[in-house]
Amino acid sequence: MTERNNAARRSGLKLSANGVQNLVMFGILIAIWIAGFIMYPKTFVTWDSIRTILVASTSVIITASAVTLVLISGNLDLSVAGVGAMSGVLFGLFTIAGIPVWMAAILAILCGAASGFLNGFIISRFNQPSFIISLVFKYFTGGIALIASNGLSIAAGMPGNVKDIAQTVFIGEMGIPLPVVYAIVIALIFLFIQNKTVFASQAYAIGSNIKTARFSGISTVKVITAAFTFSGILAAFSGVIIVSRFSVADCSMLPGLETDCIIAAVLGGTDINGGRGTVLGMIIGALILFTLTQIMNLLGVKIYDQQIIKGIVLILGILVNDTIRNKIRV
Amino acid sequence: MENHVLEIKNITKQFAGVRALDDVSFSIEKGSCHCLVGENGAGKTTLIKILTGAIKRTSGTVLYKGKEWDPAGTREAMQSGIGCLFQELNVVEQLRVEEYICLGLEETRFGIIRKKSNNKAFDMLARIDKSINPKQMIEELSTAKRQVVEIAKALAMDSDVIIMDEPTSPLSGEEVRHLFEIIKDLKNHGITIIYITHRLEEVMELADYVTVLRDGKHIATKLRSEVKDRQELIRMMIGKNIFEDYIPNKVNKDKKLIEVKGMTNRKLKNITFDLYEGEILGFYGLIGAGKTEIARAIYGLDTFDGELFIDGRKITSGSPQKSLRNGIAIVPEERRTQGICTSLSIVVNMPMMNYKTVTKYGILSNKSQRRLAQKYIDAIGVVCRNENQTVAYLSGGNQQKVIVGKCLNVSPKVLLLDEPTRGIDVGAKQEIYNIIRKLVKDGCSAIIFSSELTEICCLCDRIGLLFEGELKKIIDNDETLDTQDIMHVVTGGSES
Amino acid sequence: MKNITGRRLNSTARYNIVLFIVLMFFVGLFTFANPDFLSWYNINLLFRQNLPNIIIACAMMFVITSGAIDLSVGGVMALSAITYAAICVAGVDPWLAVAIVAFMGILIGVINTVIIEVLQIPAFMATIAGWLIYGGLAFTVCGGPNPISKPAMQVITVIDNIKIFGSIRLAIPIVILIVLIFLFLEKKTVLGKYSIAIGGNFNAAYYSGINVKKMRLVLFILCSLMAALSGVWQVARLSTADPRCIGLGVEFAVLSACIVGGVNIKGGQGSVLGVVMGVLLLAVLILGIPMSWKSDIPDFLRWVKSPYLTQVLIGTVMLIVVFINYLAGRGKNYD
Repeated sequence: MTERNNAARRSGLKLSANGVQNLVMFGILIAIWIAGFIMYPKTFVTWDSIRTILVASTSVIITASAVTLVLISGNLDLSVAGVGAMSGVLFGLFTIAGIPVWMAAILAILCGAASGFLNGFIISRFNQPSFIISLVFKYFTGGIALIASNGLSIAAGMPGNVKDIAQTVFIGEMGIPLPVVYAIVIALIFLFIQNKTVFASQAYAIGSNIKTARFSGISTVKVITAAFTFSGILAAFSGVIIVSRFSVADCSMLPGLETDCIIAAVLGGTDINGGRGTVLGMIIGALILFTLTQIMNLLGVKIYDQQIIKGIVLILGILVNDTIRNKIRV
Repeated sequence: MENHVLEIKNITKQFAGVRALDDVSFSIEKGSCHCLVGENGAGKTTLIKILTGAIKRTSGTVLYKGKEWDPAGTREAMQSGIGCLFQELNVVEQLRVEEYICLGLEETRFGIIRKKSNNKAFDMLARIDKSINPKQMIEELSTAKRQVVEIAKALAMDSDVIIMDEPTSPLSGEEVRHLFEIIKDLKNHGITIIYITHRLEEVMELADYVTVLRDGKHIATKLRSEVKDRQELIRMMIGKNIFEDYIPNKVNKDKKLIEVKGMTNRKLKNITFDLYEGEILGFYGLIGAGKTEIARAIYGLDTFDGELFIDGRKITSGSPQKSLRNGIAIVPEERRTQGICTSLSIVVNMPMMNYKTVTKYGILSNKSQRRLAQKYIDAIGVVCRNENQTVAYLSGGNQQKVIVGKCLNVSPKVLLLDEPTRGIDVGAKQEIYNIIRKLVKDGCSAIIFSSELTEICCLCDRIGLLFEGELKKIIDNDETLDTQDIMHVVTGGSES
Repeated sequence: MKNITGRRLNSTARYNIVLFIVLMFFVGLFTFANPDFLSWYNINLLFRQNLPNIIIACAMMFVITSGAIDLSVGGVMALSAITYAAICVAGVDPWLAVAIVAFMGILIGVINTVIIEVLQIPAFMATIAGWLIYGGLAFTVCGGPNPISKPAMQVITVIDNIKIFGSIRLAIPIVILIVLIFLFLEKKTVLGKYSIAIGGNFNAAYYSGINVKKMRLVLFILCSLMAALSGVWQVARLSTADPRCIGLGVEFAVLSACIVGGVNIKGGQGSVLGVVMGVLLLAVLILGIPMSWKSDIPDFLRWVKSPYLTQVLIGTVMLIVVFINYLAGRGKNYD
């Protein structure tokens, strides 16, 4: 028996299905970079251009780190844009009210955590479809943002050190924007979480087969609630960063964040139905998305036309995922 | 000249490693009630699936009304005249009775339903049961009445043959009588009924013909009048099985690992038994007997009235987590939907019931996970390319082995196994039996819930016989074991 | 298995009756707090504002009941509004323009169905992508985030100002007409029954010979058609076509109305009557609460009068309804 096993093992693939998918998407990223370089040899591969892509992708990379886990568990979080707006607005208001900037940021993030917690708890405890409940929370938190800001942009009265959170630190000549550092740190944290925690492993189980997860003694309520709480926290953090960058709190600060996160995750191999996907893949997906955006910007494509492209990319991404899955029979 | 509405000729169905049907041939008379009996795994369900177009035969022919019968799928089969009452009724709760019966059959003009088109429903329904109001919502009907509605729908679809799969399982005495009258009436109108049941008195009362299957083979088709009594049926169903494989375990009768007293819920009636240390206890019964319900109740998935003691401690409210902590693990009935996460690899599946063995200070160690998976792959003998293989691509037997590995990871004191070798090839079956025996020798006790008599008899020290949620008796697996008697009990026979 | 009641009322009918009572209660409450609530002006306003929600909700009810969902309606509405305005400004006869836009709505319904049924992409994802695409196209058609507002559009805005019987704005008869059409579709055609069958028990529908793909096509076409007509209506009512705000949040409003109106999100249950009452109940709450505070309200309650209360309110009501449904055991789908 063992000998038969050993023989089979030697001829088998050591790479997991996820690994193969990530490799393919990374190849696509390189291909897009090459295309960009060919189209704009002078402007594309400059530090400026790279930095633009990285900074633009911070919100998505930060938020999608948790949204990927939510997707893996078989759920959707459509509320992240609203949570981000709400936390950003609250952050702005807190600082205007005189609360020290770092404390205000933490409070705003706690509000995001509360929203995520409720969101995940309702979905898991009452067995409700996630897209409905998270849609409710999207408009719920969005509404709170609108009421708190009265629909206006908040800038007056914000202390100068609001900018500190998202400032650019200089090492010699190179300026490294802190948001990029945050994104890298958070991505690394969630890479760790996804690979090395029981929580993430249970999320995969729930997304793959929720009945089996229950039979195996996994608490679906705890895991799903935790996943949504994380996404609330990170969405809030993204909102705070945006406010910090521009010293303005506006309700429409993070347009389309939820769809961007989903696109990044899907491009990175996350299965819409749950059970598959990696944070590493999401990062690659986000980079693909924002490199494409950069190319489109250079090409002069308008923002709303980019939205159309994003919709098409989403559909294509899901199709490509399904095709790759069916071809890799590891 | 005999009038055969269905002729089954040399039907064989081969699954990977399992021959579910082996050269089965017999004929079904038009206008008769033809009962199909046999143990679980005898091939009844497979045959029905072929007749209803759910699966394709490997070889052989089926003639329906003299012509070759090869429907593309269940829809085509139903539209061509073979109706089926599945155990899971296919009614739509939010429709009215008449709407459901006429579903797909409405007379329409650009989608608009004409007033007259529901008359057919009234006629069909009135013929078989005048007490059901066609305007009622199906959600308000009892299971028995829903069955009647299904029959009416089959009639509305002009079915000549209606297959009923264990129809009386959810019915009460009065409702059973009513169903029998309906069947008699249907026969008078030339409809053929194929009736699958394990309740032999029903066969004796209802059947015009009886066909017995065993291990995928056709044993006999007889006129009911030629069958002397249920004992003869039982003899045909189980054949001459001599269980030589059974090896008794060293049972410690002084220590009770599990005590169940008066367990009662929706499906169970006052179940009382004990599990001793070192023994393999079996529960045998046919469909609906309550096997899975007992397993679920012990494991904490279902609530019940009564008392449950694990290792002397009383358990008040249960959950899978609590059971696992108490040392009880389960190999569930449905492998693919309850036992493993099919899209994940062996490595990820293995530690699911107990992450403590693969974590260090709370952090998951990939190396430990791989080592754990490897350990059980070797110990249990899972045939796979490597531990990273997605479990969906393993054979049924190997999937089951992975599930056993999951359970062993908990270091269980008691292992519950629900239909442990269903749909698994013969070779893998033996391997799993050996694994179970070794487990018990190493200190774990086991409860096996199965509807395969051979399995129960070669593994278990004591056997509990279930019928319709009641524990009829518990017998010892020794020289006094009488398979005739066992079948008699589990098919509803009364104590002699 | 539900209790077998002695009466003929089924669970949908019972739910609708409770809904009706709640609706009347709030109407009564708000009228008591402020008699202007039941003025013709207010009633007209309610129907003019909520016409899109009502007609889209009627169509959405069938889609959800059949087990799918269409989240692209907001984008479709925006695209239709802008296209309509653009065509009219370009000189096309307004009524012909309505027909063109309606045709576009039908086309979009076909596209949605193709993506879902042929490409096998789950409905919620496919229609989210659709929302992105159609919404983006709205901006493209009008050449940027600039609303279209020209005197040429005056012709069509006249529709909104027509009054019949002296005080009833045209919105009300249009709503009544369309609701009647949907009621007819629900009761007298196969649409209602087939949707319930497909969503309630797919096997039953399939074995009965129902062409599920064709049904889905019809339902999605109805949905985007209603969204397209709503876009036209908004333009007629507001005299401008602003791609930034037409159709914003409409999918949420419609979904909430459906859930409040008794539609089971997992499919298999729903009624046109319930959904219409759902829209009305939410509209009554949104209009009524700010109107009820006539005197000076304390500072900490000032936000009650905020125009942005809508979203928070609808969200709260939704969660309450979800909770109540859970308690009542409706649509519980466990192991």
